[in-house]
Amino acid sequence: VTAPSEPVRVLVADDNEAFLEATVRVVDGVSEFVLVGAVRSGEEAVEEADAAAPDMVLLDVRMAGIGGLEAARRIHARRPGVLVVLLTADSALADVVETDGVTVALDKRSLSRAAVAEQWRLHGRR
Amino acid sequence: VVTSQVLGAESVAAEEASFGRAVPRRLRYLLGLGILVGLYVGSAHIGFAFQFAGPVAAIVWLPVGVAISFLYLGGLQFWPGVVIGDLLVNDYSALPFGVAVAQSVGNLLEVVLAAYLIRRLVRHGSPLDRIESLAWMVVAIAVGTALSASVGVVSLLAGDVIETGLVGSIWRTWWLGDFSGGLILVPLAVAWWRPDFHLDRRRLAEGTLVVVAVVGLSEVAFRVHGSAAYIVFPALIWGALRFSQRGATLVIVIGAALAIWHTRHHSGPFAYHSITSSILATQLYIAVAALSMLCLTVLVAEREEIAQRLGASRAQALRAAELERRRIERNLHDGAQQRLLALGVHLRLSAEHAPDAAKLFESAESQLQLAIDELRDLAHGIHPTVLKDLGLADALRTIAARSTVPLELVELPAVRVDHETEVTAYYVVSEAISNAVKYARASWIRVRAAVVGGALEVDVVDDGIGGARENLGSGLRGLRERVETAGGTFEVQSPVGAGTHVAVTLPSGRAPFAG
Repeated sequence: VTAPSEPVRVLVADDNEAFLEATVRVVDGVSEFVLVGAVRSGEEAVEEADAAAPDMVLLDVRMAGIGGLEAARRIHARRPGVLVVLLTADSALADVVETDGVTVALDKRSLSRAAVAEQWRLHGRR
Repeated sequence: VVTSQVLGAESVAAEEASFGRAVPRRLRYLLGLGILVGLYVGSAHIGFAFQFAGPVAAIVWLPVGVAISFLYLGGLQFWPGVVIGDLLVNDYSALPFGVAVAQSVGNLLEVVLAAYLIRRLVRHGSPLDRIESLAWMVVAIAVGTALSASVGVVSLLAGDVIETGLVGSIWRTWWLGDFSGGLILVPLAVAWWRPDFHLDRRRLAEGTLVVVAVVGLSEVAFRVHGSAAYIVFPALIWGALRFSQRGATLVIVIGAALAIWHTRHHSGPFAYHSITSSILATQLYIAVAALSMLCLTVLVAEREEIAQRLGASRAQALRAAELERRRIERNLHDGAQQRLLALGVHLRLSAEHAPDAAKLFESAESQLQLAIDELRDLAHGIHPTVLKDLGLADALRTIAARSTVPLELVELPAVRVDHETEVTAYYVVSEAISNAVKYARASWIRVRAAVVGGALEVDVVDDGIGGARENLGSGLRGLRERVETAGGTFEVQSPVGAGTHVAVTLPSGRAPFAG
């Protein structure tokens, strides 16, 4: 059991430079979060999830290569408890992604410090 | 000697290219010669046996056709077979020696010239592939056989075998007999020499009916008095239209054989008192029938080839358009869309630092959201990426969620099918819905998509004003083209005032844009 004061370790992955930067700023802006990695593909996210042991991964759905959905599956195969927040530009996609407690979807249009913090509060565990 | 050396070089290349390793070249050549001689002599004796060919004149002189076919398909190097065959066939006791030798030389030159000309003039593919090639083949046979007729008639005249007054009619009979022999047998050989035919039971039954019709109508034509020869043509046309080159060449042979048979037995429209007139009439009938059917079957083949190419290029165009849409969509998604989304995030972060300007930030953000939505809908309309990730069922759910008219998803496919099929189905549904909303003023829409057997079935029904038409340039016409290019079926029922039903079946599991 980790001490409550310890920050939530967050990994972010997006193949778009502009949005990755925005996501990093959001994470940096939440005091209880600490950024443990920012990568640009699903494959890198899977690798980094092994190395950096994050509690939460903010994962873009649509990336070249394996993409966010497959990356989420692989991350969960190795680390079942990690909360994966799928970020999508398509609100419809956000509606239909199956949420199972460890995978949730968030529309990129509503990405903010409050939104991410709320996802952690609702679904995060460690 | 010189000739055989030159032609020998050609056969070396052929040998290396094909089955030369199994049978030694020389043996293969001798075997070919033997076959040619056998066919040449055999076909001559068919003529003698059925009395349509004599030592000088024939209604149809088959050995010419046999030899031209063999030299055209097998190679000019088999020319000695023609000489041997001719020596075995000619009756040297009936003619002065010099005349007989001249005739043999004429027969050889005729065959070599015709075969050479076909090879030379028909540059690409088979002589039966296009009308131009067919015309050149006919010219080649006509020129070659005219040479033989000329040499033969001149030698007969020089040897005092015939009188000057008969030159015209003997030349004509000779030429038409040889020409018909070539015209019947060369296309037959070209069409049939590769044994790769496969007829299913139905085609076999139809083929049998064609032959029965040709024989039956010929019997009628040649048994009744008066000029009824033309009644055979519908049966010949049937064979040529439905069974392409092989059918056409076969019915020509059957039709010609029956015409000759009846004329020789003094029945039918060509049985005149004058033998010369009978022969001429029969020859002309055979030549005209053969030429007509050959033209017909070649035109059919050309039409089929053009249709095939058209289909391929349509598929190609659709595929290119599809790739272009994907590229544009990807550019929108990766570029402007992500920047605007990032801008939104920054805007919200900034708003937290400037509580005084909350109202301004709020309005800026709502404007930005509108821009993002518009851009997203635009990109989505260009190419729905949700399809690739989540499949048709979820993509249709997103359409339903966005629809401004109540939309019921009656059934959704439980399994994924190949991507191209899903894309086509998706476009069918979105286009049909957009029509229902825009033009049909529908108040409800029902969508059904299901995988049944190996096919994806899609139905879109609305309660709109109906009366939808597939006009040129209309969305429905475009959809039909898409669906049919994918190998599917497309049906629209749209009675005025009673709604519209678009029903599509797509073969799934294969790439429809493969061309």
